[in-house]
Amino acid sequence: MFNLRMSFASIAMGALACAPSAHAGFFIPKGTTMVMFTASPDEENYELAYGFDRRLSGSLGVTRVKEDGDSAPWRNVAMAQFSYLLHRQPTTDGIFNAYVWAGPIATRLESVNSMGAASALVKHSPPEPAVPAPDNKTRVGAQGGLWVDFETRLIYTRLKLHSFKTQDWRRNEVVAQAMLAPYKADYEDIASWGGVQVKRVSGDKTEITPYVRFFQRRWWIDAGVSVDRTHRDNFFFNVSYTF
Amino acid sequence: MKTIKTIAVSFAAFAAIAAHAETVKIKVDGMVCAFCAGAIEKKMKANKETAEVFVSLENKIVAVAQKPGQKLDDAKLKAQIADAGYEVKGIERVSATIKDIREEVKAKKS
Repeated sequence: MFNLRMSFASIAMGALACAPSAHAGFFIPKGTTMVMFTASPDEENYELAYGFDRRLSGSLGVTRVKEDGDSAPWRNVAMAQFSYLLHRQPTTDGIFNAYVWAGPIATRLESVNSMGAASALVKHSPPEPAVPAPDNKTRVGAQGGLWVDFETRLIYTRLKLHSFKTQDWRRNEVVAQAMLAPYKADYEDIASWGGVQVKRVSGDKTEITPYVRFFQRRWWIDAGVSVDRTHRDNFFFNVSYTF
Repeated sequence: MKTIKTIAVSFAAFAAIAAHAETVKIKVDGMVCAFCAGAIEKKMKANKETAEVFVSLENKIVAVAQKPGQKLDDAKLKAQIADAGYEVKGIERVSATIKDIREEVKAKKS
């Protein structure tokens, strides 16, 4: 059994080398702190979250998104939010969670091709001179969403709805994930998962991303690469650490 | 002679306390991933009476060894697990050590 797990982990780790969505809005258990980093060629997310109560957690984060292709400017979004657990239903072999989150945001457009970390991840893109953004004033607004998930030690499913709105910008995301684990990992084992994420951002085509997840105690890594024509080679990875 | 007697009595008292050290075995529903279990483990370790913690998702248990002479309160443990978002299905006190419980879980797996 151990060999089977190690073989699967090795194969999946190999996939990581050629492959790796954001988990903004994640609900954190009371007293737990989580730091998280997500990157893809058109999105970066940094988040620090803490669980205040059985039903309430909060986070601070910065997201950079690029919405209209490689030549578009990055949009920086700074946000603070509270997540509220609406319902949690433990069953004998699984758990169901539903929660909402909301908070203020401040957004600003950057110059095109500023040297962000994710810019370096864009494949086959020759460097272009920086172009001033059409309007780089800071705008304030709000963001919020809904998250429902159900998981056992072999199945994980989730649906996330997330909206951002300022005076001159709106973004709506719908993300659905389904994953399967090849074995039931225990707490001290490396849990390995494989699955598919389907993401739809307003004004863009649906993005389909097969991905892998590894989980052990405090660490959590997701990695995937899009397979649909529009987003092909658009890889992402996500690293989270709790303490 | 008096010193030897005092040492012997102290040693016997310590051995008696150690012999009665208990492990609290808590059955928890809904604990399916390391993220959930990590939050529970952290809370259990923060108790001053805790010597060691072992979590098994397979057996749905959280085992907490108490420090010699100290006793964890059941109501407090239940509240801490509920705070982490999970449901306590039962609490029992056993004489097995964490090492014994770990071995037992390992044996069941193989």
